[in-house]
Amino acid sequence: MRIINDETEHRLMDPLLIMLVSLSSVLGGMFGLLTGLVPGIHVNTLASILLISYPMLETLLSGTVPNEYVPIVVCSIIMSASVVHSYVDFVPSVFIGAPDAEDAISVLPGHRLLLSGQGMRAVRAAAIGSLIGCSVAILMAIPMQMVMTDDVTHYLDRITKIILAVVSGIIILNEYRKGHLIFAIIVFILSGVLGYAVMNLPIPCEGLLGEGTLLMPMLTGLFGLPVMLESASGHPFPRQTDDGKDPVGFVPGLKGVIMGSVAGWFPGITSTVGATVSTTIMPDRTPERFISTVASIGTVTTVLSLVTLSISGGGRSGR
Amino acid sequence: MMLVAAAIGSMLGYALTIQSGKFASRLVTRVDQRMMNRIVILFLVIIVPVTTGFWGVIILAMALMVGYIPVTCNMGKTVLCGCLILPSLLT
Repeated sequence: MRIINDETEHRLMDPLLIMLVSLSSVLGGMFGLLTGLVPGIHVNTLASILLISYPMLETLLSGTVPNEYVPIVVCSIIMSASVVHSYVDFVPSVFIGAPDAEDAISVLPGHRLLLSGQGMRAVRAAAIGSLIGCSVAILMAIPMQMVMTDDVTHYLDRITKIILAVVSGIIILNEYRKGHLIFAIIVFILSGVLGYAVMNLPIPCEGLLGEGTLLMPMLTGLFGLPVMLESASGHPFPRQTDDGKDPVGFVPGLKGVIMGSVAGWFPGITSTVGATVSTTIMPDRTPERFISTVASIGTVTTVLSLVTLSISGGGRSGR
Repeated sequence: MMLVAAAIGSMLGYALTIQSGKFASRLVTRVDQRMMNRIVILFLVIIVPVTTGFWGVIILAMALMVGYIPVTCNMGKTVLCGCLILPSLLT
């Protein structure tokens, strides 16, 4: 079946459209930098603002930009902002211990590297993981849409809960081996109840800047603040060194692609859960490799989810 | 065109991550760790009510209590991923 007709093909080659997409992507990148660096501002907030102000944008751009290009401009801003956000959000995670939903479990290894003067190795590992993840996700986005027929997606929906139950069992089993069975079950259930309340109960989350996401205080309290409070030894941070070399290679990034593809397609498996599964099944030997895997998973999930959303009109991983 | 935007975003993201990492590295070496941690904790304590209101502070306090258990018991932090796995299992 020929999906792209001649008119669409001609439009895709329009220099004006290519220029508009490039400019929108740069603008989106700046927005992504802001949302990635400031803890608590999710890139979905930006998407909501753009959607709310869509009629105003259409009026503003009419006359200079053909009307049919306005949705492409808005989508390019959102896509670029989401991708840049998924890269940059590791910086606050490493340096101030304030994680995003994608990198919550990488706070501790990132902070450990910072305390040994190697914060930039954590940042470079994350950047390389995201770069590999994003490049592969771009290449496989279209073929994956063809493979994922309705039958396949229905099958994935059915087995999601089984996979999550198995993952929960593996996580608790890991702690049982260390002699922490009871506490592991208590913490798993307590954090689960908290997560359920945050995601499903109508808890007000209206801040001074409008409606925020309660995921931020929950993840900061669970993963970020305990690390910050524990590491307050009073000594100055060691001098940070940066040799400018790639600390991890491409293997952790590719491992992240496998888990990111799963996380991007299974509803309910977020990138953090995907990272947990990945580290449980295929443990990483160094903190840098772990961070690179988690970064790759986050970026692959972002790209695949948005491409899926744009083609099918329905998201699969809650983004 | 979405993939072109993703490719441009990817190149920008890589460069911006390295640059912001270098900036943050320079910044942390100039300040005392205890002072830096206090500033960050203060920043987080301020930004939570600013972005999520009163209930954000309550959630932060409850999450902190749960988040401290693995630290005090010397457990792995992956058990805290129950906050994302359990809601998916129950809904």
